Order: sequence, then C-alpha cells, then structure tokens
Amino acid sequence: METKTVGALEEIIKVNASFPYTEPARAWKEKGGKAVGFNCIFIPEELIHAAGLLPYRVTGNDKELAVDNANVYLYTSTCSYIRSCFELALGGQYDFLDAYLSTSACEGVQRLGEIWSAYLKIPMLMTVDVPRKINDRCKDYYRGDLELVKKRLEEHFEVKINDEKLWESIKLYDETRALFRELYEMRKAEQPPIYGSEVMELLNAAVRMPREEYNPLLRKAIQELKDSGRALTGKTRVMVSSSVLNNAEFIRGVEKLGALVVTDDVCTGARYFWEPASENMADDPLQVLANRALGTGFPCPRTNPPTHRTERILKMAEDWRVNGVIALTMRNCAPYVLDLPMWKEKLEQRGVSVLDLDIEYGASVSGPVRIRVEAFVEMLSMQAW
Amino acid sequence: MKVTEIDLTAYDKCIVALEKIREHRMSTGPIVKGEELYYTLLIQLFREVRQAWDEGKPFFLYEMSVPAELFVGMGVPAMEYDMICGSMTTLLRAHEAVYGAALKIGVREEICSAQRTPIGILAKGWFPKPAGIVYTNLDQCDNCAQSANILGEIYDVPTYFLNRPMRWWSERGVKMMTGEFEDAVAFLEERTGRKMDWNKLKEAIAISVEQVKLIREIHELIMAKPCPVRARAASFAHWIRWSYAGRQEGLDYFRAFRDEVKALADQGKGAVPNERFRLMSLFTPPQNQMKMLDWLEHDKGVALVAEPYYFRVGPWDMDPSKPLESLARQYYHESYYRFYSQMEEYLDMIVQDAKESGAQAALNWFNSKCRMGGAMSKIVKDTLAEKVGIPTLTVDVDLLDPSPASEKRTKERIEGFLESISIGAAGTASAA
Repeated sequence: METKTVGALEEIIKVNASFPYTEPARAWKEKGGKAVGFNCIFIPEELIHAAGLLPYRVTGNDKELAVDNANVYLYTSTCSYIRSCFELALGGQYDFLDAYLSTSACEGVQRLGEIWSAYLKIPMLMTVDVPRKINDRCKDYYRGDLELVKKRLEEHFEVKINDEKLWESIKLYDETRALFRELYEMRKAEQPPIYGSEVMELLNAAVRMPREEYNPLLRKAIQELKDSGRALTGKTRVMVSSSVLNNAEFIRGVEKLGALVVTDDVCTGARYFWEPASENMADDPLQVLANRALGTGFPCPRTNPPTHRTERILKMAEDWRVNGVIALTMRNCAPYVLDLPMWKEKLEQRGVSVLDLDIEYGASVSGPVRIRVEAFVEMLSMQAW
Repeated sequence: MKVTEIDLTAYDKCIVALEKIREHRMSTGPIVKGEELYYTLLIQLFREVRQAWDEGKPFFLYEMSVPAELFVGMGVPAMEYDMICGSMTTLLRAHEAVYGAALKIGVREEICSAQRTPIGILAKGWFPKPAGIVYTNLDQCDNCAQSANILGEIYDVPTYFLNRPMRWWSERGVKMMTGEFEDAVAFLEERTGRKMDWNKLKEAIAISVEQVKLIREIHELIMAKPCPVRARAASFAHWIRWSYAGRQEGLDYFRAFRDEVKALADQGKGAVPNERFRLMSLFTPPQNQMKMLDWLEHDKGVALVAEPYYFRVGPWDMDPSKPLESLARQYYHESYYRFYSQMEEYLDMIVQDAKESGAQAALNWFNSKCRMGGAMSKIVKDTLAEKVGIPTLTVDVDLLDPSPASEKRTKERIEGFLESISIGAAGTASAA
C-alpha cells in the first residue's frame, strides 16, 4: 500500500487523531465559541452554523470500544453505534458540547438523546421529528420542526439566525458537497488516486472542525491528488454499505486484503453529501434544507418508499463499476436489516455479489470477519479474471 | 423473494384450531362472555378474509395501529397482520418454519418477532393474497415502518405507508396525519374500484368513540380491590380494539367486558382466586406464553391492576364534519403509542397509572428485540422507584418467539421478585 504523500490530505487526517475533542474544536471553544452535537444527517448543519455555532457530529470511536457502561443504560438491543456514542458521553468525552440536537430518525438515535438528557443533563437537547416518507406533506412538516430548532437555538444561545446567514451557510456546505462529489468522481477511474480508508478519514474530519477551515483544505487535497499522479491498483473494486460507518480502520483492513473500496452507501459517507441543497431550491432557506434532507438523491434505509434508495445503489454500483458490495449489517440496526433484502437480490441479478457481514460498530477486519472478507475478495478477483 | 404459490392449508387449520379452543374453553368451565366473544370474533375475522379470497373480492392486510375504521368505511374486509400471524404461528406450532422462512430472506432474529412472523408466514405462502397492505411507523418503531416493504415484495402487492408524526399534540401533526389518511383512502379506492362511504365512516367513528369510552371505564375498574379483571383479558381487548375498531361487534365485546368487570367490582369480587399481589404490567406479556399469566393468577395470587399500555386511552370527541381529522386526533390518544414515542410521555403515563392503581410493584415485560423498550428498561425502573417508590422486575421475554426465554427461567425470576416484595411488605408491617 505504498502511496505518494499528499500534504493537505495528511493535514486533514491529523484532525482525527485527537477525536473526540479535536484540536480545531478545542481551538474553537478556547476562543469562546459554542459547539452543538448532532449524530444524524437529518440535522441540517447549516442551521447550527448560521447561528454562529460549531456543528459537531457525535459518533462512537472509529475503533472497537468496550461499551459496558452504556449497556447499563441502553441495553444490548440498542445498536452498538448508539451504545458507543453514549459510552463516550458517559466518560465525559463529549462534555465540551453545549447542546445536542437529536432526531427521530431511528429508535436508537431517538432514545440516545433522551437517555443522554435524562442521565447526563446536557445543557440543551431537542429532538427533531423526521418523517420517513418522501413527499411534499412530510417535507412541510419537517420544515416546521426545523423552524422549532431555529427558535430554540436562538433562545438558548441568544443569537439571531436570519435568512441571509442561512443562505451563506447553505452555500458553504454545498461547497463541501461539491468537493466530495468531485473526489468521488475521481474514484471512478480504473486506478483511483485515493483509498477508501483515506476518504473516510476526510469525511470524519469534515464534521469535527469549522467548515470555513475545512473546505480550503479539502480543495487543496483534491488538487494535490490530481497533481500527484497517484494511481492505485487492487484485485477488485468494492462498495461498502452500512447504516453508519466511520471506521477508516475497517476499510483499511479490506484494502489491505487487496480490494479497492471505490465508493460507499453510508450516512457518514456518500449519503452525507450526495444531494446538494442547490438542487432543492425554494424561496425559503428552511424549506430548502427540508427538501434536501428528505430528497430522493440518496435516501437513508429508513426512508419510504425504498425504491429511490434501491435505484441509487444499483446505479452507483454500475457507475463506479464495482464487482461486489460489502454490506455491514450492524447488529440491531433494524432499518438496515429490513432494507437490505430490498436491493440485495436485485444487485446480485446484475452480477454484483453482496457479502452480508454481521458485525458490531467499530469492528476491525480480524478473526472470522477477516476470513469472510478475504474469501469474498478472492472470489471477486477470480470473477474479474 | 416473490412467492409463486399460495397454500391456505395452514390458514384453514388455524380456523379449525380456534374453533376447538373455543369449544374446549366453553366445555371445561364457565367462560365469561367477553372471552367467548374474543374467540368468536377472532374466528369471524379469519373467515371474512377467507371468504373474500374465495369470492375474488378485495381485502386488505394492515399493521397494528392502522385505524380499522377506514376499512369499515370502505366496506372491505381487512385483517391486522402482526398479531394474527403470531397467533397462526403459535396455533400451528410453526415457529421454526416461520422464522426460518424470514431468515432465508435476510430478516434475522434481532428483528422483533411481531414483524418477523408475518414475513415468514407470507414467505411460506400461507396467507390469502390481499389487494394491498397498509402499514405505519407506530410512531417510531423501525420494524413496523419497514417490514411491510418486504411483505409487498413477497406477495407482489402494492403497499401504502401511513407516516405518523411524533409531535401528536401539534396542529401540524394533526394536519399531516389527516393528509396521510386522505391518501390512504385514495389508495383503498384505487385498489378496490370503490368509493369511500363517508356516512359509513362517520358511523364507524361514532362506534369507535363509544368503544373508547368503555375502555376508559375498564381502565378505572381494573384498579378496584380486589381486581375484577383477568390478566389475559387485557391482551384480548387490545387485539379486539385493533381489529374491530368502528365495528358493532367490537362495541358489543367491550360492553360485555365492561359489564362483567363492573358486576364483579360492584360485588367486591376479584378475578384472581386469592389476590396476594397487586402488580403493574408494562408493555405486553409474551403472547406465546399466556399460560404464564394463568400461573401468575392461580399459583401466585398476582392481579395485574394497572396495564397502561392497553387501557390508559385519552378521551375522544369526534367532529362529524371532519371524520379523518377526528380519526387523526383520536389515534394520538391511544395509550400504546406513548411507548413508541417520546420517552417522557411514556414515563409520565406509567407514573400516573402506578399512583392511581396503588400497585405494589411492576413487571416490565421487556421484549428483548425491541429497541424502543430496551433503551427504556433502566429509566423505567429508576423512575418508578424514584417517583412512586415501587420496585420493577424487567422480564426479558420475546413477544411471539418462545425460543429466547425459557418459561422455567422466567417463572423463577418472577418467583424471586414476588418473594422480595413479600419480605419488603412484612418488613414494613413489622416496622409499623
């Protein structure tokens, strides 16, 4: 896995080393800034940003983590992602957050916010109700909830969020989305210039530092990648799919076995940036945010109808010319378990193999997981021949 | 995934089995009217769907908590599928086959058995093919919200998803829900080629309003000393509400149930032979182990004096000029929704019920595949201890699948808990 060094890429990746209280987040707070946690892409970061606050994505650690303390509060039927988030919160590692915006996106996410608020007394918590259905009625309802968030942020932090600020934030976050789309386009190449694990590191850093600092770095990294002449090779091309995955180590493990991870279907990956707000224009910025979040571009597995999502996965597999999909089914993630059958067979009928891998959040490619992934990669590489 | 052959042998066997159970219950001892009606109505529903299928007429499958009044208004048979498929699996003792069929599609055991069961039953081709499936998120249940996508695929039938918002108290929520019902009506009309009979719907809602009044009465009566309600009755009533909302038969059932309970309460008689413990029952007891409830009553003298999930329904005043909006408002007041909604509301509800009933302790029937409940098991215990001063036993069971929890182990845990309550009560008495 020898590759040419890309300076900006290394600089961004460095941000993750101090997770969760990253150096940029610390610097922000030391200057008197406030940080608002969220852990679901149905919270529009623009709304937090327009209030002059730092949106910070709460996740579990991107490596295996014992969650014994969280088990006491959330029981093992809650997925390990949610329990990992709460384990860090219980350990005081998210104490730097000044508020937390939760959603009703799934059972685990909703209960995490409620339990967090009940036992750890975060200064401000609000749960945003996110409809599961994609239609105008649901978008309007969701827009109403965003209005409540706006009001609550204004009251709690004594700030004013006006339309002008919102439009500026939307523009800034759309810039990130456009840059990631550009980066993902580069991954379509026969010999892409960047590993999937590196991309995951870039995505992780995006939600852990001020966006004004991040975008120029990402732009620089993309330019450097273009100029570097890096051309990666692998035995086969793979897409990684899951509900949530920010574990760069896992992807690195897959890549060490000879596969090239060229794209993904995770909410911390392609689904995070896929649909630009600019494709959902309206006169009202909150409506734009609602339309984007409940758009048909690349929906979450929870979304109804499931057809938009299935079509996106099939199209993505085709466009990125993947030979196989590693579907990481995190135990107790009901939305993903119940969504997978909706597209798995269809993908296989098109000649794309799917490895249904039952794992816990933060798992590494070792032991039985390694054996299964290795066999899958070998099988795909033989098919490619 | 698609099923090509439908074989109703298993379905018909269930009708025969239910008839035998009803006969057995009636022949072995006095059966209360409510219980007899329960079995009669269960059989009737199976037959209505079978008849529609035989005659080539449309019928629908719908998920728990979808208002049955809509189908009454349309004049089409419809069957709630989560609990019916659970009953079928238990009657046929076909757990392994059914869950195996679901697993083959990729639906694993971590998914709630209430949703794995219909997937397995349909995958086996054991159910008549409906004209459509109407389902909902039951507020925030992931399993409910998505499992019908798979059902629709398996049987190749159209589905309609009714998106229920969480903020039930807001006018925005009512507006959204009303719109969702309007689209549901359009779906039913499109699938049947019929038009909604709005007068019939209004009549159905008027009947439903009366049912709710009776449930609220029963909710108060259940707290009488001694408790006049049998533990099994709550599950029966819940199923009748889901299946017969808006139907006269449902109203007759609730009236019979209320009359029996009231008669006992007026006479100062209890349904449990020797009432020793007055406990609160949270969520829902394992539907595959109803005999456990009999054991609790007969062997242990336990009366379940508070079952907020089933009975703590809010009041309902219908506006005849706005039937769908009325329905939207009422369904926000169904008690079981709170379990799947915002935690604070659920906790408030159980605290109120615990205080009003004077329950000595709580049994939290914790469905180990339920994420909404799992994440609340500790806070339920903490809240009842802190705000009401009563202990809670979290009983790990599965709603329909008997494999994760052995009856022996569950009984041992409950016995230990009851013993600790006795010791606690004796200690309090001697201290006094």
